[in-house]
Amino acid sequence: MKKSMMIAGMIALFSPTIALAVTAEEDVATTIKLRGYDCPGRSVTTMEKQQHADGSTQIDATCSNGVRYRITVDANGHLMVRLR
Amino acid sequence: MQTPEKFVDGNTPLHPIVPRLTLLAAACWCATSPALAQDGYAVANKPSQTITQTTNSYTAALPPATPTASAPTIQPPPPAISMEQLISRLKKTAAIGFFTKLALRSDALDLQQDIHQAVAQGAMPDQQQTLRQRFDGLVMKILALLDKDPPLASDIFHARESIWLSLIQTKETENGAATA
Repeated sequence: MKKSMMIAGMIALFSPTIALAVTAEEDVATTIKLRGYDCPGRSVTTMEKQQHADGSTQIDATCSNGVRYRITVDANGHLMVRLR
Repeated sequence: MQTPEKFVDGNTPLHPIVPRLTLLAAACWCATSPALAQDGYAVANKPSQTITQTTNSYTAALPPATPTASAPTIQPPPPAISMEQLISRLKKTAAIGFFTKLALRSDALDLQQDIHQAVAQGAMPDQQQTLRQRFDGLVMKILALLDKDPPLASDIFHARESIWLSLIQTKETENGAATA
């Protein structure tokens, strides 16, 4: 009884953190939507990240409807989303 | 001794000085009455100091104004929120992911650059409405994304006017300093 109460307390303690956390897939899906593209669901199905030598980052993601997008972040932090 | 004439109904007529005294009394009453004195009746020959003193004595006689229960309560202005603190909280919040934050930052920087350009070209009066709509859209996006961090969303919502003013004023100041 005591043990189950402790577990319940721990879950209650950490649940706000769990609720606040955004997964990388959700983050990428939200970014695609912010740029006005169609990406149904809360997260992308696949994503592949590549870091380049010039400091830019490139992410290829596929949404649940099968549409693929490329997200590019340049060295200055400017973000662009393009349809592949 | 001359006896006053009597009317047919037996009443004696008034002394000729009585109507003049009545007029004088009426003139004095008008001069001391604040309502009439403000309108300027019968005070043309009175010095203004007398009127002021009379009005003051009336005002002093009135009971002090006390707020009634039915009067609407004036809410104090919301506390000033530091811009740096807001940006820091926006960077730290876990309600928005890293790439989403980068996208919002890009939008904010683009808007800032366009405001700067409009101010530099003197086209701010024409473009202010469009720029303000873009700003409101950006704020709405941020608020929608912050549904898991209501305190930060509330603070940004309340600070939106000061954020907009700071955006414009900073650019106007920079422009003024550059032209000077």
